Amino acid sequence: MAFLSAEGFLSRSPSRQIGKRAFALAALVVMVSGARADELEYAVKATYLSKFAPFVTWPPSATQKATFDLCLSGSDEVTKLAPEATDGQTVNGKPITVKLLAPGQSADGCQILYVGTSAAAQQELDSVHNKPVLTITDAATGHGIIAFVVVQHHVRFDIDNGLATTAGLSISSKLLSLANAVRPMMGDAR
Amino acid sequence: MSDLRGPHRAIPWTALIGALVLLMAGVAMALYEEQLYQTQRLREAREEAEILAATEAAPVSFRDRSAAEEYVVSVKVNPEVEAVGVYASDGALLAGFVRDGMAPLPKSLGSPRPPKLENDRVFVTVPIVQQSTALGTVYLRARAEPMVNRLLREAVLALLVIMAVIVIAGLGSAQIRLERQAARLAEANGRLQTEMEERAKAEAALRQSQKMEAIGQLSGAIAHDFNNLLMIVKGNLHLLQRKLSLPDDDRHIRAAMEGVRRAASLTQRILAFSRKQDLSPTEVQLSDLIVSMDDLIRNSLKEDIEVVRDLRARSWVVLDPNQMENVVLNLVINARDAMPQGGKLFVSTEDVVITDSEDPETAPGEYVKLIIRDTGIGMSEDVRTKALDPFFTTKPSGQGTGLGLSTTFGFISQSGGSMQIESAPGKGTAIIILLPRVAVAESAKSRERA
Repeated sequence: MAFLSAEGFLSRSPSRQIGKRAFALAALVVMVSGARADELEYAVKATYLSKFAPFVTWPPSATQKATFDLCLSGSDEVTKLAPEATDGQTVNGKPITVKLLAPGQSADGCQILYVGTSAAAQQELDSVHNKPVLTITDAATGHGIIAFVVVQHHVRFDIDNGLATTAGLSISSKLLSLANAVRPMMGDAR
Repeated sequence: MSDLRGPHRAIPWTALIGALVLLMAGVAMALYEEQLYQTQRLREAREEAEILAATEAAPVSFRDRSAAEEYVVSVKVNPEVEAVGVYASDGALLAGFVRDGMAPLPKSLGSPRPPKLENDRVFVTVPIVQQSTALGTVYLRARAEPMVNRLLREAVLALLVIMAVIVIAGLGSAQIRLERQAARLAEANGRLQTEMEERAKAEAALRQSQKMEAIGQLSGAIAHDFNNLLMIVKGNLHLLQRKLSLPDDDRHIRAAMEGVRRAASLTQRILAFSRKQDLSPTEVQLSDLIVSMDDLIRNSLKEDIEVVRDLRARSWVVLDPNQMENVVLNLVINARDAMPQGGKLFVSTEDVVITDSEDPETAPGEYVKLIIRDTGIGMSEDVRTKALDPFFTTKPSGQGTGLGLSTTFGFISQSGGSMQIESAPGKGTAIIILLPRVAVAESAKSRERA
């Protein structure tokens, strides 16, 4: 019964393969569970990565480049699907460029940093915590500005607005209102 | 006022033009109102859809149906909204509602469509945009005020306009009626005025004729008796002459006889004025009579007076020709005295027919008209009205008896005719005499000519 909201999810994306797969899987979720359901969950998360962008305002210094950099750190299913899920998409007219970061590589200059499953996840997050980088994690992995959670078989997200303020980012109330939970203050909620 | 008469002026142009302007203004206002209403209604619907589009940005972006539905429900509060649909960027319907019994939402919606007002409904589509990224579309369908209601409202306005037009037309025609009535009243008033003046004139004329009648009767009676007494004096003078064997040219006898003759002449004229003289009327053709007097007339005038004759009358009248000659001579001498510096004397006759309306003092009928007109000094109005009175004269004492015109008037009246004086100072004088025509046998005419 999971992921009913994911139907037709990626049809606008040029990545037809994932889109078709996600759609096909959505039709089967009623009967199928386990690995396939997980795969859909990762696909949704991968697609979400670029969808936050319109609701976030970066300081002007962070948007000087001609491209919009979506950086991926660590390694999990989401980082594998992300390049396809965001292929051909734009943010404010700039094409999204997906960058896979090697372990220990600085995330400076990225607008969005997704930190996947990694032992050093929290360290990576901390390294950019006061830089204009929208950090996204899975709630289980680490504490980013946005953290994916699965609530009643739906992929939702928490937002730490305090962290965002520290990073110099401004997150639209529209997005905040859709969040599963919002932490207004930066705290030790790790 | 006369230009208002006639049926084509039943409603004045000003009222018609006013009504037309009012009607056109009414139509223009109705069209403008309708345009305004449509624009406003579309704007309202669009604003509502835009508000929804703004709130739906995140739910559409993350395809959160439940969140999308929540916002849609807030729009449902407005009872005029009939259907709302929130469509994702791929055109798929994400959330929405349709009120019971209303047409369903479009299955999918691609690019936004232009707003329209159709079948008493407004249709608007608004893009959902977040930071210049198009995320989807909001479709909103709302009830507009039914066309019938709007038309009814315009109809009330139209009714008012029509009423105003009717009032204007009514006022216009009422004013015309009033003006016509005023014109009729003015006309009636004018007639009344004229009648009053004529009546006053007639009364004055009546008084005058009564006065003349009285004077005539009195003087006639005196003249008659006086004439008889003169005959006694004359007869006894003859007897006395014979008794004393006095010659015919005895100075005293001759003076006495001359006095008697003049007295007799005077009484004769008084009798003429009082219309009691003995006349010998006969059929006369006036033009011929005047021709026969030619020498007499010329001898009584000076060289500096030119006589112009225009004798066109060929009809016959009945009167005493000798007395008529006296009348003509008398009038010619009057004209001469009125032209001391010379001038022209017009003598004309013509056959005329008097109809009812021409002259109230003359009975309708066929007449011979005699006009003797001079270019002399004329008379003042005061003198003119008294000219026919006996013993009235403008000549120095001893030169005129004041009986000339009054005896003329007496003779003409006795002959069944009428006499008028037209004159003004400096404009000369015209004596106009009308004498009734008589039918005369052809034989009589030829006898006369012979």
